[in-house]
Amino acid sequence: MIEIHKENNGIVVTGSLTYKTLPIFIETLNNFKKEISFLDFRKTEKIDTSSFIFIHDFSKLNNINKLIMTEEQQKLFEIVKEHIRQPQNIKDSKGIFYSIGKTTYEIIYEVYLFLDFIGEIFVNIAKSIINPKNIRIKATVNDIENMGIKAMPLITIISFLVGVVISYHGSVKLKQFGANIFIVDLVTISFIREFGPLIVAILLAGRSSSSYTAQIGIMKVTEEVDVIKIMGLNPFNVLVIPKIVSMIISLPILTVLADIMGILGGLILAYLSLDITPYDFISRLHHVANIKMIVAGMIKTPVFAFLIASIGSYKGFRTKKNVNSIGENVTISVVDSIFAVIIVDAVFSILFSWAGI
Amino acid sequence: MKKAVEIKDVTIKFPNKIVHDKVSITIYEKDIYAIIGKSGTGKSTLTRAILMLQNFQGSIKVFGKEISNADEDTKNEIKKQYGVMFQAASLFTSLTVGENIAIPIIENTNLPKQLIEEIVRFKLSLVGLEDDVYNLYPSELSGGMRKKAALARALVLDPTLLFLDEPTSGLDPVSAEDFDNTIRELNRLLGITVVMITHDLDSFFNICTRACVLGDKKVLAEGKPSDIMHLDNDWIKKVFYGERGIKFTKWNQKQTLP
Repeated sequence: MIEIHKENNGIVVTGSLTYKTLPIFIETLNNFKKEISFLDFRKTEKIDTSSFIFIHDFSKLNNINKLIMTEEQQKLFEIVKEHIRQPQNIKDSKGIFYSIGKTTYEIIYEVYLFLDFIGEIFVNIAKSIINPKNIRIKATVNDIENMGIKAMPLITIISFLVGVVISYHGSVKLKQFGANIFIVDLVTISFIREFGPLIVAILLAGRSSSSYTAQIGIMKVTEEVDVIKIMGLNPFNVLVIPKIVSMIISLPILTVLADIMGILGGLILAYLSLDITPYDFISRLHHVANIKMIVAGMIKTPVFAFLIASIGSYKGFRTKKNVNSIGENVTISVVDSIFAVIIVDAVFSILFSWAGI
Repeated sequence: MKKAVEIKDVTIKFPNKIVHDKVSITIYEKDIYAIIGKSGTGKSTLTRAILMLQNFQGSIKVFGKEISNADEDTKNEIKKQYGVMFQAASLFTSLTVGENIAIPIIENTNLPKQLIEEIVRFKLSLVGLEDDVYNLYPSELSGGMRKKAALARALVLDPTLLFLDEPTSGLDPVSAEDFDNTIRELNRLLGITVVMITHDLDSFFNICTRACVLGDKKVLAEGKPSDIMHLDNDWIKKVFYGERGIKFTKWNQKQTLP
């Protein structure tokens, strides 16, 4: 598409000189740059602005004053000359200490902001209790449906399977000792105290926390949060409180479901591989399960719920106005809320062991 | 005159309604062509069909090539001649303005970095942006600046066909006029064919060479702006002879008369 001829001590270009053919042109010119004193474009059909910029730089750099062009080309070249600006190579590398300091500061600041957020949540909950009109029942119920009821199938299946798997592994060992009936203790204690609440909390941390962050984050990007503020509404009441309330309602209920399904899984496996009849299983269950144990399991769930909903919402509000930031914050919110759930669970275990429960 | 885009009997349907019913328009090379019409008459939809973002029945020829049954290669070849500026500017929010504008060059050529940066800065200056927006992110710009940056991105490979969706909306009058002048200059010097959707009477009269009016699923009129102005249609009458239109024409006459 482009032909470049060397004539005497100059270069004649025919064809079209656009971004497609420019690399060839650059290469050829760099080969001849010491021998040429003029460039002739009169036979060139088309020259795009990118090429003009190169021609401008090249002629300046190599002191080629003779550029032969048609009138049209000359006009365009004038425009290019008028607008051309030199690139500035500013590289700001501030060293390792700067980045360590900056990261540390950002982490501390993030913790500060999160505590600030939690504080604001408590203030708003207190206000809502004084003035119950502020509680948005419709949004709360809607959220319970989306985050609680629609999570039921998943939690049913997963906790059933975990129940089966745990009692299977237990049954192999228990059979050797002839202590078959203790399979009930194994499944019941592990599910009611730990697995039930943890499975539900971790699943909801993945499911709901990410959804909260994405929802609030996009509302922030599209300035919907600002609209809520301008209308004289409190974004906390509209967006955060319903989520926290709905989580605090649904997570304990889902935990009960997970407990039941896990124990059911154990019951079926016990019947199939250890020949324990459901009747025996349930009568043993009455001995094992006591109110202390159930309280120890259930008391954690509202704390998990609060953490999941507040971390999800908080990360949503921390979203900046770009696409990457949404993805980043969704990931962080899931990771952080799962992490927080596990840490809090560990703290509860320590507290219970001190209290001797 | 050569035809840049020829739309013939194009029907576009959405699941629950017909947007266009056998629409035909012709855009000649080096035109500055305006598509006007009420909100919801499918101006954007029609341009999306030309941009191959929207399915349609009928025939659309771009530079003589039929696009309804073209293969991927032909389509890509045509798309490389397009420069598009969407209504919401649609810059990549995770990249700086400079990186946004450089994408088409980096993807399509292997020019040296220094030259690419220079080309990008040149385009920024061409659309009237300060040099220091180069390193800013789109979220740090105002709406008008974002539009200009989007224009710079659309222009970066010197397209032969430039699509603008409401380019001057959201700009202050001075910037809008600069914008119009830039487009006219580009059209004159680079021979770029411009297709724009606009509601701006200023640009409509000042820079457009041809236009069409969409309405009622059809093309109500096609021709020079001055011809369209005198057309017998309620909406057109309201546009040009309604309160805003009259004010505009009066003011414009004052400006031109000494």
